Amino acid sequence: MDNEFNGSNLQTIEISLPGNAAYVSSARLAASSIAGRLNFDVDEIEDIKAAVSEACSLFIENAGGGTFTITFAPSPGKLSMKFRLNQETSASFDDAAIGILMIKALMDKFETDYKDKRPVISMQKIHHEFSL
Amino acid sequence: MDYQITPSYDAEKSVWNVALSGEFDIFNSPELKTELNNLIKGEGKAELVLDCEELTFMDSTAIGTLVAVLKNVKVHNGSITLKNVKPSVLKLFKITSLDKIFNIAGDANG
Repeated sequence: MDNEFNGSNLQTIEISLPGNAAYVSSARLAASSIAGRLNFDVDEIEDIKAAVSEACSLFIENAGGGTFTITFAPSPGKLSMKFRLNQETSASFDDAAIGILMIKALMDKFETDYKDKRPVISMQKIHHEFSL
Repeated sequence: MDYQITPSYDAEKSVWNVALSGEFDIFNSPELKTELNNLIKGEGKAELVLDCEELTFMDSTAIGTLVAVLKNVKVHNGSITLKNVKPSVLKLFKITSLDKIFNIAGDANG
């Protein structure tokens, strides 16, 4: 098994989770595994795990018992992630929420979108060796 | 998800030592809150030392839980000390500036 992604095996990974706190650890595990295969170092993987956990918590608090989908888009030296609520909601995220502040501090890119009343959180982590 | 909350009472120092292990997030933070608040209520003593040597992950929900417990502890003129905090966990306390309101006694690598 290849230890890292390369140009031929960069594939988008999508998982759908119930808005249930019991599955946040599954999201962290998936993120950790994908980041590890991209050769992110331990500190970067911890940052990604924490950011994923915060995003999942935000969605669980706003999911109203529904589901949300996480799309992992690996590319050389960076991992992009998109969290999308699978049903409409009038709720929005508080930009001053501690979870949002953490994601902003831990990731290199972060944005929220509320198109069609389906909140989306997008974030990206860049492997530091690629950003030098 | 593996996690444990293991309290032991040091009668000599009148302190609850609580070993935390595993991961704490939105799922098990309510249990963490209940367990810690019960310790304070049970002994009427509000000194907590949380040993984080085996604590591998904590998110803002869990940190928020500790803040809530700290408020309760302060009502009883007590304090919360965290020791052996891993750098990855300490980083989250620093990002939120909550490292200033807890006694943090050193990280697991030092």
